Amino acid sequence: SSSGSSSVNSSNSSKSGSSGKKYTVIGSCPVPQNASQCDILEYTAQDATSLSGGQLQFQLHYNSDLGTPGQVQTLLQQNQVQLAVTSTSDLTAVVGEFDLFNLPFLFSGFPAVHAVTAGPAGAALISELNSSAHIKLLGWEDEGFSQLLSRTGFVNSISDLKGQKIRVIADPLLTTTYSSLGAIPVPSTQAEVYTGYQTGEFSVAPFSAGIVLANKWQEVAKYFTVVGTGAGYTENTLIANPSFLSSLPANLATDLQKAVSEAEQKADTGIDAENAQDMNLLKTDGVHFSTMPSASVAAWKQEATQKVYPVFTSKYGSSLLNEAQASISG
Amino acid sequence: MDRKARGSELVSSEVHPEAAPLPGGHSDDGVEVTAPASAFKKRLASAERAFDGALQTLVVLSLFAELAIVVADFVGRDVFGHALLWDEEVSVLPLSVLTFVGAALAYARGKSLSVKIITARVPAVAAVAPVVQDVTTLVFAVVLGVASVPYLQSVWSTTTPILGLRTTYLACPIELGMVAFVVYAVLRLAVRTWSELARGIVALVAILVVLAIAWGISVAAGVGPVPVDSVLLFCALLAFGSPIAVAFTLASTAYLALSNHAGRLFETVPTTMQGAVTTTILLAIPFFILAGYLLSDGGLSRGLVRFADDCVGRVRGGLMHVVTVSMFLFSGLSGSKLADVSAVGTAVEREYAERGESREQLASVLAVTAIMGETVPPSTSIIILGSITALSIGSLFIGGILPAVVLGLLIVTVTHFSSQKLRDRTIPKVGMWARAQHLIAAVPAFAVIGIIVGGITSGNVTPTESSALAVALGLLIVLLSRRRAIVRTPAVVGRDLWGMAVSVAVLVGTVQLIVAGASVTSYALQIGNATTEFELWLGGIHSQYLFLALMVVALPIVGSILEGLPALLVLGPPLLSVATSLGVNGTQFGIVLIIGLGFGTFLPPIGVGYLFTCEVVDAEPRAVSRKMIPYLAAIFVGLVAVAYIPQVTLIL
Ligand code: NA
Ligand code: NA
Repeated sequence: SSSGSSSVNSSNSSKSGSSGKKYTVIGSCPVPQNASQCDILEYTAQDATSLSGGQLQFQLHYNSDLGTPGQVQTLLQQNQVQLAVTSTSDLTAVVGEFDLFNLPFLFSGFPAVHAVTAGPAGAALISELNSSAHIKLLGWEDEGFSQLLSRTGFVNSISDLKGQKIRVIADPLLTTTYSSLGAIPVPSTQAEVYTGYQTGEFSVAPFSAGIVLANKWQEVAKYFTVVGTGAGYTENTLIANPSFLSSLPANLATDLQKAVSEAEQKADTGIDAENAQDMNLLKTDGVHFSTMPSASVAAWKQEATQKVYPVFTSKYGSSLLNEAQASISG
Repeated sequence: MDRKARGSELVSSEVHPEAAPLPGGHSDDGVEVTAPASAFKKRLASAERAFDGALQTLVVLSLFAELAIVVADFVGRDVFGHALLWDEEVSVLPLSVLTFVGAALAYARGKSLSVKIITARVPAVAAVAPVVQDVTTLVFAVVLGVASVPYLQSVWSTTTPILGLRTTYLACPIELGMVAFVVYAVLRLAVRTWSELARGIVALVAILVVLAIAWGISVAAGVGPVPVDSVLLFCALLAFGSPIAVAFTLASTAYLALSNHAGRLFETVPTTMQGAVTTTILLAIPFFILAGYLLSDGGLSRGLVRFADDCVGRVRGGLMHVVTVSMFLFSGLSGSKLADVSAVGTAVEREYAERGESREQLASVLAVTAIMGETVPPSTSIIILGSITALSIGSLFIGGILPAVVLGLLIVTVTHFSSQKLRDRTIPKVGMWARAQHLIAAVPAFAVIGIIVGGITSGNVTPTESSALAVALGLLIVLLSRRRAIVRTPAVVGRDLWGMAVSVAVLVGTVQLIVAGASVTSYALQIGNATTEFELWLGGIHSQYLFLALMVVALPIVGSILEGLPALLVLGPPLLSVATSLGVNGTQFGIVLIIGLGFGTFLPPIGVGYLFTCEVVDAEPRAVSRKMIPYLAAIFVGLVAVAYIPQVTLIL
């Protein structure tokens, strides 16, 4: 079923004493159950249920039915929700440094992302989140690189963006990224994107193919310009309430962490194939595809690095960015 | 201009010290308190006036500051190519002020929305109801006020993306609103006699005793005592006429507290309430109400309604048909039911009343046409349903058009037959020349409408921004028309605006507080896994016809309690999967869901949309609910038709 909330029942209650005390874990994912963003939560719930022999029980909520991602973060801090999928952009509300993932052209591909999350920059972010916001980051989940979806035509060079209204999430790095190219950034919520394209409130927006499909924006915007791995990136995380974790007996805490590590692997497996499949689905829905010439991408990268990186470093210092760049090139 | 704005009538009793609300003198039970004025009571009254004035200042400033920000944003974006970027994150503050402070002002004026079915019929209940209402409101405000302290602390680490403002600052109006509720509740209780208080306390103790007995019986019967008592508490609070928002909040908080959920429970209640009332799309509602007041005050509505009367005044129910058509067209712009009602309702309400149209019928037509408008594209509900399920938003939009037309025709039919007696007054024959003059007088109104429609369809302004644009145009016209008439000084115009803004806050606050309270109920139901149990139970149904029969009855009831959107989020995906597994077309069922839940929003006695509409057109809710019966029957017929005749949805 594609339930709004569902329970994951133990399929294997033979291990580690099913007679032990049961712990209910309320988990939340902001999008529908079948969206790939929820994979890390679902795999974790399945594996942890069986590893703990049913002592850990999961009640999963989807579709923001407990509130917006920001509200769910607050509920998680209050230990009403114990486990949640949230994007790094949403985490910037509590630890601004997570904006690192919104820096344009930082990551050349998923290996670069993994180098950063597994390296000192990732560790620094995790520790800052725990100490200043009392949120424990348990795992990372790859989402995808943004391309440009337009209703009016392809974006073949950065000058094509001049004067165009471009929809972005409200984030200073993203608005700077596009205003530095002469575009007019229009921040709006996801719910407003469909009609925004329809009425022409904006003409273009950076999205991955998967998120376009999930929200059916291909119904109202038909031009997809592939920029490659650069212009923007979205990373998801699995977060937990630290006092809930410390209330668990040691063996169950270990089971949960083990389940998360396995889920991290499974969720990120085959992500390139998934992306290719998403693009094909868009093509069958009548979306036209074009690839931005590499010279244009290079010009964009040049511009973005000059204008946007200083915005980040002036706010958070340069050590985090330096560490990230060192991990990527090392 | 001799007519007084709805707002300026309020002004005379709110700004001028001599007519400020006196404690107890404005209770909604109609019992005037005539205790001799002691020095203490005089001091109390003047303190309340000062307090009330400060709160009024806050809501007025919030409303106009937000207006300035929204206008600056789209002018900046469309004219100068540079958007403000931070306008959305800041809008949380005025929305929160309008909700929580506005609701407190409404309570002080006896305008909190409540159910009067029992208090109007049972004198024994009516006798104790005022004290029960004030005490339960006091408990509500204290619980929420205390819970908001750790809530505000817990969001200290959270900041907004662009300006980096702490969420705590943006959320503090909830605390201020609760302090105001406490002050007003105490003041109202302070002027009660000892015997009134004593009888009220006895009634409250009786409620608690009944709850205790029910608890015992439930335990003995093996039924969960917590849900039983929560439902009983909810019903008891409604029966004694406590504000609906208080009933929702207290009953669900009790449920959460007693069902022993993990975590710092009480902070969750304000978290959920604040989240429910601060989505940007809600901004359109106060602005459209204010725009309606201004257009009415500036004489634009008069021109428009007079012109409409010339055209269709001789048709049975003619002016009501105008409302139906306007709502159909307007719902094609805004995407929000309450915004549609605000815009059309406030613009025509006074003119219609002056022309002898029944306010009750106007409220009924507005409410049911708002249900109709739910499936006219664009529709927020359809976009949300499309984004949480596999359904295509485009197909839902197309699928919704014919059902809306069917509902519209049913509404027009009911209006036709129920208007027989209304329009039997003799209508003076209007000559061609007079008609032409009326048409010319209606031109400014058409110009305003044209600018708004053009702005949205060209993509230059969003629906929310168009509501602000409407206010700006309304202000301009009021200023221009007054300068010409030289009837009022700028000071008087300012005072009128003040009164209108306070009226907007009172209206928006009452409704938004219910939305906030219902969000706690919806949260409690989800955490309590009630929806999963409902889904399991539905899994036992194997007949398409039986399932659809259940849906057309259950959806309006659920929508009435959970206030549309939360219900759609929670129930949309599972119900759709049951429906498609039984062979119902997904798009068709999607439209059934939208109409069914929308129906609930406007269903008496507690549908938020229904209560809101009554307030907008200043009609008595119980009288409206009687007038609505044939209309509701018609909508129900339409809903059944959409559920059982797939062609209605799928033929286009
Ligand atoms: Na903006
Ligand atoms: Na609509």
